[in-house]
Amino acid sequence: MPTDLQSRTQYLALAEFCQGVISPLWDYVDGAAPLPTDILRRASQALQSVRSGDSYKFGQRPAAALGSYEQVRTLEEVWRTPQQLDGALKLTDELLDPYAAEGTTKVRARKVIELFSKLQTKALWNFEQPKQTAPPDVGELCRALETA
Amino acid sequence: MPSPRDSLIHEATSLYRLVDSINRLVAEHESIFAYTDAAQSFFEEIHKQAKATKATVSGIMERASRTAEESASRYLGELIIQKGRWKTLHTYVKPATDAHTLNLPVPLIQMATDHLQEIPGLEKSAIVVLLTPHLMYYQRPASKLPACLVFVEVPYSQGPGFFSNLTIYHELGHYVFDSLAAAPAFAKLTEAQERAFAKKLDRAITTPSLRPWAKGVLDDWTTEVFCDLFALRHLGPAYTFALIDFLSLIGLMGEETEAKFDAEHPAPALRFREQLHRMKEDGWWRIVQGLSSEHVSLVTKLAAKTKYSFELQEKGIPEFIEAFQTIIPFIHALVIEITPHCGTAAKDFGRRRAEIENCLLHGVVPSQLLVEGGAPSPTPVSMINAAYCFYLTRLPELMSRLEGQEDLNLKHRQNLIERLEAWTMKGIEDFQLLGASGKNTSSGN
Repeated sequence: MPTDLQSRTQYLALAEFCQGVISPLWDYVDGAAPLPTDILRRASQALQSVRSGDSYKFGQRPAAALGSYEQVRTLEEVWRTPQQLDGALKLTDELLDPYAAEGTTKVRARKVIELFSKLQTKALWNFEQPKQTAPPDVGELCRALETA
Repeated sequence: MPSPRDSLIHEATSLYRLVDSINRLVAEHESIFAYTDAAQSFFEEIHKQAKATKATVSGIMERASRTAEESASRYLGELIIQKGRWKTLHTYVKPATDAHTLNLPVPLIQMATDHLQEIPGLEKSAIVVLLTPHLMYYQRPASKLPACLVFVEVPYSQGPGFFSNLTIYHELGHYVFDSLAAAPAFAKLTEAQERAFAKKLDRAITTPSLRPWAKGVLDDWTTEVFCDLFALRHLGPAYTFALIDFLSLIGLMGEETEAKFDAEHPAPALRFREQLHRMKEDGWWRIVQGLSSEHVSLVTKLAAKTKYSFELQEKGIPEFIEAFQTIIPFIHALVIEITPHCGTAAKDFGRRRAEIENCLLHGVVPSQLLVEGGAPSPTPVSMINAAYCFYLTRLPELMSRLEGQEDLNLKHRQNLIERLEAWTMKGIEDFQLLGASGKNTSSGN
């Protein structure tokens, strides 16, 4: 069994997390189900925790949807700047606006589907790659520690 | 280029075939070999999941057939994830089917299962051994398997061996840590980790992914020491000796590596320092410190080291080690708290060691010392430790008593070590049989 299997299954978990948003949103767009507000709230919270830097919690390692280094790194690869992450978060939150017209909400839903589909594609791509995730560049970390 | 629906049909068929072939392989092996109850539970789960996946795939195809051709691709992600789950699962299946009872030290696995089930919250745990060409690892499956199944990889070359397989207790520690990390008992350790991170490292974090990476490093080191101490609490110094043999085998016991941390493991020297501390506290060390063995000298030497290093990309980051050192006392406290059942193990060993070694010196299974209906002593842990001490110090003495055995003949040594392991395992098995028949109420400590 490849020794990096555990790292790679982190990507599969991320892809599943995305699928958990994409599927019910498609059902909503098709008119087959109501807007999945609980799921969207959880997705928003997960993105929010990445942005605020507390997605990884000691003692809760296996539980978090976007907790591991591999998962957050994938997210950074798709949404390269903090502004893009903010944009994804804003769009997800706007979808939860109870006063928005249905037409507007469906347009927004398609955009959120697109965002999470991109993230899912990257996660599945990383899952398929037989290599370990590269560690971060610690140069900046070392400099910051030296100057602190 | 195939249409989205054609791609979907292709993916669905491929997944269906994969699932079916795995399911059949399991069924074939079940009809030929005998397996532990845990492996059997795993196989039942495979059959259940195979049935469920086939139904899911058929459901996806049915939904896709009612969807417009151009949007059929929306189901592709779901199928690829299912396939990914099975690709992962299938890497567990073959090693599990290889691990039938003839290939395993079953009494050791049983003893480990009993120990695990003594920990509050883990009463239903069951160990599934995976025989692989790799080294020993705990596997955290991402394939929605029952949380009570503990997957431990054992190198096929060590399959039925006994002493080397003692290190599976370290892997069980990973399972305990993962399963109980959110339990109240872990709260103080978690707080200590947060404090250490906040004090030493937090100020230098600049990107979102750097934080989970840095926390992950601290968490991995914490887990490794936890696992060592968990194993040591259950097995005594036999675990430390087995770990030395194991790390030597993979080349991690050299002068150049013993004080180095890597991103996943603390330095071996620090790990042995903490084990020595635990052995002293638990009363083991005073019994084994006088052994004339390189293992004892090595533990003493490594534990005395005070300088460690952690380098990444050729840069030293001592702040990680400084942060980690503040966490270590909390790991000891936690291990003590969740393993109260291990408190008297050293005492029994001290009392019975000489008698057990005497049995082994005469080629007698130590279960002779068990008294039906009497006190549950010597315990399996005492037998294991006495056997390991005997292995390290008295093998030549045993060989000198047997006709035609030469101390320097490796084949002769191998044969006798295997017999020593077999006598020990038989002793444990007899202890377990007495326990199962109600004449012995202890689970092994």
